[in-house]
Amino acid sequence: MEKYDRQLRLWGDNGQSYIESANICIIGPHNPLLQETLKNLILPGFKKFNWLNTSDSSNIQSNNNNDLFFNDINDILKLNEDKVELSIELWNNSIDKSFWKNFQILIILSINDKSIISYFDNLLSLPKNDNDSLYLPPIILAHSIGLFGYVHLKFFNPHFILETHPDYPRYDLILDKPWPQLKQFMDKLDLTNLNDSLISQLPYVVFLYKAIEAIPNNEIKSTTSIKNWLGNIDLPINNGNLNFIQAKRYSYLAFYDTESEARILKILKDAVKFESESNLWRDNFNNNVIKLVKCFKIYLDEFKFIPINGEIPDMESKSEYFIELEKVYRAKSESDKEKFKGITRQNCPEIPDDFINLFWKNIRNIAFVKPSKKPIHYIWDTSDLLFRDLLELQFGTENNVQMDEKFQLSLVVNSYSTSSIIAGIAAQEVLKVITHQYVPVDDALVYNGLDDEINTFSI
Amino acid sequence: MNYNSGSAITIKILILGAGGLGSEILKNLIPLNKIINEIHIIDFDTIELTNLNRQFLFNENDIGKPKAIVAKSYFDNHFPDLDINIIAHNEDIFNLSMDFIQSFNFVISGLDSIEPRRFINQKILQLTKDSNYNICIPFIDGGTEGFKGHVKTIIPGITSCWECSIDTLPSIQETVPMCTIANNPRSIEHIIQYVINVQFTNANLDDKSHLDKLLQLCIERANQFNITIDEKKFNVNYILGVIKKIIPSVSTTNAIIAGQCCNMLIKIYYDLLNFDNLKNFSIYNGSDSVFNYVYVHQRNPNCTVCSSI
Repeated sequence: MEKYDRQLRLWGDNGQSYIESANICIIGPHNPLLQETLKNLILPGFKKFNWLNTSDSSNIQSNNNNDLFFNDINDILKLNEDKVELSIELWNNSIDKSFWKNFQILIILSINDKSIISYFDNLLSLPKNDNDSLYLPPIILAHSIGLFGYVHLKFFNPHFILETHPDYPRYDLILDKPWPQLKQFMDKLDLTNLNDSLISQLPYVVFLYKAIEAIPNNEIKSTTSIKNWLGNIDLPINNGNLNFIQAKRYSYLAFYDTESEARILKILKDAVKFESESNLWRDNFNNNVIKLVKCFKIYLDEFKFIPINGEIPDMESKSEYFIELEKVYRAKSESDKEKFKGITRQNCPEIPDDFINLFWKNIRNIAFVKPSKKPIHYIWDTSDLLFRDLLELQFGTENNVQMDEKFQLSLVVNSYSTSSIIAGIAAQEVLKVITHQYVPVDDALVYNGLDDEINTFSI
Repeated sequence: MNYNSGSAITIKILILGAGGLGSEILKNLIPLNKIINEIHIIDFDTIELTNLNRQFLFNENDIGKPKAIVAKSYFDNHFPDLDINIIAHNEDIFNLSMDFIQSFNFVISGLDSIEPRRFINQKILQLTKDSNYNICIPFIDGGTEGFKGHVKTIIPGITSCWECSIDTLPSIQETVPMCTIANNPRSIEHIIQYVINVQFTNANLDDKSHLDKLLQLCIERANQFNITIDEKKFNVNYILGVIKKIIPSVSTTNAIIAGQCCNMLIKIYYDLLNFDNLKNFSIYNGSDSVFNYVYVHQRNPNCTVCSSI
C-alpha cells in the first residue's frame, strides 16, 4: 500500500478499497482521450475494465494513430504491477441490458455515432419494476477537440457522499444546549476562584459558556451579547491571553448552528423522496445511506437537534482541561449514537456498525447529487453555446457551428494537452463517484482552453 | 514574441522537475514535434516507491535512480525515431547559469517547492532586464496539491512575476507555540512535534528502526497526557505525514494542470493571447464539484524582482 501513500491521504484505505474492486466500462474509439483516461484510472489502482471499442479498424488494439502516446494498450495496463484486467470487444447496438449490471461506472468517450446514445436512452425509457430496472450505472460522457472539451456526469440513482472533506470543517459546540456532563465540567470551573495562571490556561469555550450563562434570560443571547460580556469581564485577564483572544474570535461557535441544521434538513428532505425506490438501488453505499437517512429522521423527531460528532477544534488550553472537555463531547456523541443505533437495529439491522459510525461522524458534511430523469439526448438542448458547438463537431454536424478565425485556429492546434486535461477531469470525477468522497460535478462542465475557463452547469 | 503559425520556427524548452507534473508536461509536448526541436528536463531527485501512484514513465525497477535520466530513457526506448532531442539533467536547479537559461524559448515548471521557482523567476526577469527586452522567456508554472492546482504564466516585464504573488502563498502552516508542544499538548500532532523536535532530534526517517522508536515515543507521550490515539489512523505513515508535511498527490490533478501549462505554451506560440490583459493566473479545485478561477494577477509595483523592469 505504500505506493498509494500520497493518495491515501486524500481518501484513506476505505476509498482505496472501493477503487480496487470497481469494475469500469469504457466505450469509445482508440484515441488519446481514451488512453489518457485509462492511464489516469490505472495509476490510482483501478483494476477491472471492459472496453467497447467503437473504432472502425479491424485490428482494434493496434496503433494506426500517430497521436497516441502508448504504442500498445497493454503498455498502459503494465503501469500497475498488480494484475489489471481489460476485456476488449467491439461495440454493438444489441448488447443485452443485463450486461450493464456488471459495472460501477460507464465512461463514453469521443463517440461520433448518435445511435449509441439512442441505445442508452431506450434502456432508460423501459418501464421500471423491481426485477427489471436501473441497469445503468452512473455515466460519464466526455470529448475533446483542439483547445476545448467537456465532461458530463449523469446519475440514475441519488448519489450520496459522507466524507465531503470540506476545506473548513464545521464544529458545533452547542454551549447554549448544555447536557449534564458539560454543565458539570463548567460548574467545576469557577472563574472568580481561579488564579491568574489557571485563567490563562482555560479553553475558550469556558468563557463562552460562562457568558451565555451570565446573560439574563430576558436578554437576547447572541454573538454580540457574548462579546459585550467578554469585553466587560472583571477578571485578571490580560488582553494578550491567547485563550481570551480565541474566545472573542470564535464566539460565533457558541450557539447551536441553525444554518447548518437547515442545510442538513433540506438534504434529508430531498433525499428521502427517493426512499421508496431504495429497494431498486444498485449501489450498496447509496442504499445504506438512504436507509440511515430514514432512521435519522426518526431520531430527529424524537431528539430534535442535529447531534454533535464528538470533535472539537484545537484551542489554547492546559492539556488536562482540553482532554477532559474533549471526553465530555465524545461521550455525548457516543451516547446519542447509541440512541440512533437503537433505531437502526429496528429498521435496518443489516447495515454494518462501521458504516453507521461513518454516517454519524459525517452528518454535518453529508451531500447528495440528485438523479437525472432526462434522457441523455437532452444534451442537445443545452443553453451553453460552446457545449452545443462541441457536440455538433463531435457528431459531424459542424456546418451548424459559426466560427471566427481564432476559434478555427483553436480547433486545429494539437489537442493532446486538452485530451490530457479532459481525461484528468473525467478520471477525477470517477474517483470521486467510486469512493463516495468529495462532491462530483452536477452535472456538466465545458473547458475553454482559449480563455482558460471551465464552466460548470446543469443540463 | 510574434510567432507565425505558418512558418516552422522551432523552439527549445526547459522543463523543471521530472516528477508527476514534469512527466505529464514532457509527455504532452511530444506531439508538438512540428514546433519543438529540443527539450531539457532537470531534476535532482531519485525515484521513490511513493511516486509510482502518479508515474507512467517509471516502474518499480527504477526506484533509487535519478528521475530526469529515467524519464529521458523512457523516450529513448519507446520513441527511437523521435525528432525531438531530449536532454536530461540530474542536477540542482540552483546551479543553472544565466547562459544556459537564456538558450531556451520557454520554461515550464512542475515543482513542489517554492525556492527553485523564485530562483528561476529571478533569473528570467534579470535576463529580460539586462537585454533590454531582447530576451523574454515565458515562464509557465504549474503546481498541485490533492485535488487542487494552479497555473501561473509569467511574461517577463509584462505580466506580474512569480515574486509578485509571494504574499498569496499560505503562510508556512499554522504554527503552534512551542510552549503548547512542550507543556500543553492537546493532539497527536503536538505529541509528534515534541518527539521529533526535543526527544529524538537525530531520527533518520529512512531507517525503519528509528521510525518504530518514533512511534513508540509518541505512544508513550500520548499516554502520559491522556491523549486518545485512533489506532486505525495512527501509524508510522501518519507520523511521517506530520513531520514531512507531506502533500497528497494524485495522477488526475497532475494531468489537468500539466495540460493547462502546455495549452498555455501553445497559445503563446500561435499568438492566440492578448498579453496586455492576460489572465495569467488560474486556480483549479476539484474537491467540491469543479471550480476554476482565472484572473489577471496585477504586478506588484514594489516587487523586489520585477519592479525595476
